Amino acid sequence: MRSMMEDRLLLWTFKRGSPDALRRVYEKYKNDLLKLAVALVTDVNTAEDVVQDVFVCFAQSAARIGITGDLRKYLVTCVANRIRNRRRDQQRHEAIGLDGAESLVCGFRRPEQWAILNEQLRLLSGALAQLPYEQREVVSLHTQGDLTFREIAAIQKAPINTVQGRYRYGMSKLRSLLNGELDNETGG
Amino acid sequence: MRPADNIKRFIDKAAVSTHPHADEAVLEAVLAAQRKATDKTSAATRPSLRSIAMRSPITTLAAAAVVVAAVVLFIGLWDKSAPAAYALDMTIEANQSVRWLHIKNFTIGHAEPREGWIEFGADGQARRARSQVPDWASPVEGAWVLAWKDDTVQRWTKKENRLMIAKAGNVREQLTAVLQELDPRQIVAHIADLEQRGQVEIVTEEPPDKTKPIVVTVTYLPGSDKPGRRKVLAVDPVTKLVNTIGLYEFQDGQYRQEGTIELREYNQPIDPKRFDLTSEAPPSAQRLDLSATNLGFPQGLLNDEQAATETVRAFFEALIDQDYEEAGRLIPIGTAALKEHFGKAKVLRIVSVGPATPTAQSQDKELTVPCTIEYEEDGKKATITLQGIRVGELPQQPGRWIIQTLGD
Repeated sequence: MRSMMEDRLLLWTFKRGSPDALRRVYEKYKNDLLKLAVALVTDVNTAEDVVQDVFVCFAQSAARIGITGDLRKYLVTCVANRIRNRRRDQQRHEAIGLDGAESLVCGFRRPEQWAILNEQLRLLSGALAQLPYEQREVVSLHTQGDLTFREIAAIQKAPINTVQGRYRYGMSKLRSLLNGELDNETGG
Repeated sequence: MRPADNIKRFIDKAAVSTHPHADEAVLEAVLAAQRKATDKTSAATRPSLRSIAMRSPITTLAAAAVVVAAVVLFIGLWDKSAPAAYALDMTIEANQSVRWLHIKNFTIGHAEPREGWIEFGADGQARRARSQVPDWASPVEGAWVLAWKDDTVQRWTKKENRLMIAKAGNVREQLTAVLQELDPRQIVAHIADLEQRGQVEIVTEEPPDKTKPIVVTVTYLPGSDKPGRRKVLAVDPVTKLVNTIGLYEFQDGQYRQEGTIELREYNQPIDPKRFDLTSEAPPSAQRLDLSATNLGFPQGLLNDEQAATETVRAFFEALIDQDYEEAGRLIPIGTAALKEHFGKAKVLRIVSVGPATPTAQSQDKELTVPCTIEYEEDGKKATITLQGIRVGELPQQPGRWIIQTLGD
């Protein structure tokens, strides 16, 4: 169960340099963040890089991070922002003809694949990949990240009505794309 | 089932798990990043200053931290062996006339220094003092200022906009002890003693150009208490007072400078207002008077273990009643801060509390009390066990106990 009380205590102890607190934050949120990242970038390797980078930066941020607020939403927003930055950088690189010029991870490579996706996530990821990014982001951050439309509007720097519209369009298209699978769900 | 529920259910079922080996490697990379960041912070804040004691919002608000900070900062500013610079007899004489002192302690890589101001009485004893620390040296709390005069220590943390007031306790004695080590007569004797025992090498260079400073180099030799350290003192050739102390450490085959202590403003009277933060802190600052008599849990006839346990129990009972004023007497961080921190969750009951055990590695009277509570948040109930609640006596108020931290 998600616990803000536990999160506040974790943050408290994390800020005092506790590796146990960091380990607990990692264990508690790695799967949620990986799932969100897979949904947003629709590429497992990139998603892994993003999430790992978020955790590494979080580990280095004890002095800067506040002790109040929602830890989960903080991490979710970090993932979203990092992916946004990555997309922006990629677009810039493509514009000047640089391909594969970057790795987000701080000089560290995993020995093997980190995330293991179940069948539903593979299907969801494939369907989300067909949505425009802004819609994909709203749907993912709202349904998986538990962010409010107002919070998403702040990330997208867009009016809340626009965000709600993107959500409606996104969900509608997603429903259409996953139609067969949803029938199977309903059927049992 | 509605289509909207249908798709959300599908999204909920979409899940990811992780490969254990990769998981372990990623976690290790994350922990390594934390260690590296911690090491960097420690280096910046000098562990010898017991910066760790200043990192917890609660610990920092304990009056003990105020007193400790008052003393260790002075130690930090004047490393006890630094006055070894006063190896010149003429400097001994010159120092007798010092009434006011302003110290700037620069660390390589940071433009803003830690600073200290001290006013001495006619008897040579410190009467008032002030120190301030910039943001870089206090990464968690941010910049803070500490002032001591009479029997009171005040501490203002700018970022939190909080002014704490506590009884000074034995600050005077501790500061005097530190200053005794700065007494040039004792220092000269000490250096001579170290030199005789072969622990330091002292080289004095007096340039022919009498406008240039006299340079006294004190090198700590292998077998001394600070091997690999060097201090280079620049002495004013006219006043014979030390103007700067360069701090060096032997690394990679050479002495590298770590910082500089500047002592340029001798005997410039210090405005008395500098030693009173009540007018310097803005009116909006939260004021916490830790010398107030109603703080803490009264021990009465309880032994220490019982008092510590009952302090924790009383704190969570206050949270159950949502009585943040009462809770704030037991964790003196202010009612508003407590409400902000704990107000979103409703503590339902104390499942278990205690037993209290002495905190390992603590030299003070401090006990650790485990506690399990049940609480409700977002309409859901859960329990949580806090293993590291530390409870201690309120400084200067024996018999009254406060919670110093809820965990490490």
